[in-house]
Amino acid sequence: MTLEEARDLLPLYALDALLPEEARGLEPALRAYPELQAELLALQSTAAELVASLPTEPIPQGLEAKVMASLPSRTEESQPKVLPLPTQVSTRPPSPLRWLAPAIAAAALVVLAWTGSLAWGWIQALGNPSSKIVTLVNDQGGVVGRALVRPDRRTLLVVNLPPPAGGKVYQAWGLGAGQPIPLNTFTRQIAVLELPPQATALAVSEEPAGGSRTPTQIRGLPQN
Amino acid sequence: MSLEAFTDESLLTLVARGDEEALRVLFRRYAGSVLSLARRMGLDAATREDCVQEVFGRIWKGAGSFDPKRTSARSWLLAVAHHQAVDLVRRQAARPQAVEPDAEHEDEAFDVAGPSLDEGGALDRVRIQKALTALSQEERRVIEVLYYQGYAHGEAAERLGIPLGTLKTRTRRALEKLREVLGDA
Repeated sequence: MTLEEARDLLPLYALDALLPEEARGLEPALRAYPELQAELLALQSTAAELVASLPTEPIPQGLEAKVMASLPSRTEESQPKVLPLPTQVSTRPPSPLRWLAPAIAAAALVVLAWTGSLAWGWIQALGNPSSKIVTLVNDQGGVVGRALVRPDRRTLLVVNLPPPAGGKVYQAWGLGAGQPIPLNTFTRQIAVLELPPQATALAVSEEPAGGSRTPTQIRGLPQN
Repeated sequence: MSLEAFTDESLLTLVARGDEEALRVLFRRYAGSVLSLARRMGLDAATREDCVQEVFGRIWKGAGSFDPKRTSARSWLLAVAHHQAVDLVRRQAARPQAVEPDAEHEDEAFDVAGPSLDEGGALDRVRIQKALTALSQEERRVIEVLYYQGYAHGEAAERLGIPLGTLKTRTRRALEKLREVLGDA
């Protein structure tokens, strides 16, 4: 299929107006001509607005429960993961060696080089039994960062994430009983922040420059 | 932790991790729109509920394939809904009675605002309905038959009595006009 032939079909594809076999035939062309992607996304986005032109129907009683009860089960590796409670962040007894998780130790060294004597407080915090470590994972369960939370709520956050996309920043969030609490934005792999008293865990998201009031694209959530 | 304040993108990320509560929040945000689309596409009450069930089953299974760099969560969710509704319409051959509204009632076919709407949704609808009025009658018919009635292009061209090339041209023009008007709104 040529570029122009594929382009010709995009509006129909966006409206689900191709037959299934025609849609399947177009998909290799979409991969072959990445320049069509932006055009298709614009068309699909416009098509989605057509749904929004309709009045919202009231949801029949019991439908939500029926839908939730009918969800297919997940495989073992993708079992539902409940957002961790604060005590799940870390309540292990103090053992300095156990606290010296590699990422935190490496971070402490970086911080040492970065801030000189200021790092000493963080190194001491590693051995403090009242300090906590939060491990952050992405949606695949891969570890993307760790945070060391001192008893005074000062928190050293280290992430292993690529630099945020152009013009964007990473933003930390305090998680507690209510809505996520927007915290500092940052663009490097290390951030020092103050975890509010009502926050019992934290998360990281990618946001437009200046940060957001609610998380847009979550990059790291506390591990169970 | 309440998820109500989370964006659709964040909720989909959580759904991909298997968070049922996040799916519940998405259900409360979108199930009404899915039902409304299914009604508009001529499905009966029982099938509309089946449609909602299948849509959220698809979202549950497919959230991992959502890529926020490529499209917005809203577009993705509504595309899943439309795709499922089209599947059902074609499977059951459940067609609305009229291929196109008669001239007298044509505007009403796109004037579907109801009384029980939230304010934000109502504003959205006004904006989109206004955009639809920017289309010519022929362009609106194409959108009606392809999108709201779920016909595939060959059948749609036949029903409208126009060549396939004309149908493609009108479809593209209609979507581009809508996009332009919505972008200006």
